[in-house]
Amino acid sequence: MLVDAGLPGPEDYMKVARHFSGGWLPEHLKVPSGRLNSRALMGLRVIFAGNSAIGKNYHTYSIHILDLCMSRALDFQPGGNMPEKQDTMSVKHGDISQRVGVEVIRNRGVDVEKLIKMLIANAGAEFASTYYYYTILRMHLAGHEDYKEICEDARLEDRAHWELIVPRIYELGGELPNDLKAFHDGAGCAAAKLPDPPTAVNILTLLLESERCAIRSWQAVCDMTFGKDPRTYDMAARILNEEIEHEAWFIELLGWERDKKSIPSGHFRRGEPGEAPYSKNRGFYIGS
Amino acid sequence: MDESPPAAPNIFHVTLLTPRGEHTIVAESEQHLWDAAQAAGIILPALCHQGRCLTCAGRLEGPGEVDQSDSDAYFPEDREAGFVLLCTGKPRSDLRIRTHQQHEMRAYRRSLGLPAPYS
Repeated sequence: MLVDAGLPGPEDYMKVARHFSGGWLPEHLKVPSGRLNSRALMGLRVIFAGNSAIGKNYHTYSIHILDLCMSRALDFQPGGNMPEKQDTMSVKHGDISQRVGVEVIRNRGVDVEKLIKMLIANAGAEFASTYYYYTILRMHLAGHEDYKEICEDARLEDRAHWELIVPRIYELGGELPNDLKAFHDGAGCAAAKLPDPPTAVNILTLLLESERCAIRSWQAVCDMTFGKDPRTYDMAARILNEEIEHEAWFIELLGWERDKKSIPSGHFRRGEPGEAPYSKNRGFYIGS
Repeated sequence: MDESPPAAPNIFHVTLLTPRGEHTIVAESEQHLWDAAQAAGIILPALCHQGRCLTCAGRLEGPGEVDQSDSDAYFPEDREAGFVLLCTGKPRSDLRIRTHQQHEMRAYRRSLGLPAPYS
């Protein structure tokens, strides 16, 4: 038990924080009283989520973090460490060289330049590593019409992800490389090139591992933006939702094709190929 | 038909120099170094787990051989500079590796005009 019965005090915060962060607690999370205030606690949650060791058991830890949030030891002083209106003051009236939409998330601790790099790498993975190569993979699933259709859903939904990411890159002040090869080479996931031999098992294995890379990549964006950049977080979470579904589909298909095991994915058919219920904000089951 | 038992994997000692200290682990010849570290309770940076994104990069300190054939993108220049990708690298000798080298490896790749995702 990390927190003893009863209401935790400041020392409990520090104990829990040290435990969660492996003994490492950044100075900026401390307040003069030695107590973590609400903003610091939010930062701590983000750190936990971004730490792969902690992230694995985030749900377990989050219960304890929630305990702390609910306790009287929290410092909820109005104003506190969260200065009011300071975000907008950093951009002068009529100035078009800066964006309040960027500065507000920078002020909350987002490394905007790093985020742009992550989004470009993820866009490369969606467009170049998967959408393009999935087109070829689909062509080689002859005789497996069911696999073809699922591959088609994943392919078109990855294209939808690409379309969703690009505007956000530019909103944040970034831009796509003006060179397709550079874009492809900068992708964060391996190109899903047709395997040799192009058997259904080999193709499904490749599809599965591609989706897993996408999940890891989008989880990282979620971790980076959680509680700080709701617009990017919402986009990343929508994409992540679909990547997780894709992984489940390919586990189901590979489990059957390779091991003759039934591992249901919970998949319901899309309303139309590439429906993308999360990233296109459509109903889950359209049609009658 | 050869009915001899499969050869036992070789075991190597790998010393990881992390920002939090030095740890020596054992790794099998068919085990990725990142996985061996995880099995020893050491969680190192990683993202794609495909040997591409460079998040897991480390750098050899001293002699040693790492098999990077499972990596999606690993260049002779990387090997010359001692960079290794722990998520897809398999030990071929005892090793001493400085971890958390993603920024250094990306900078190195960029300096040579080689792919450096996330930079």
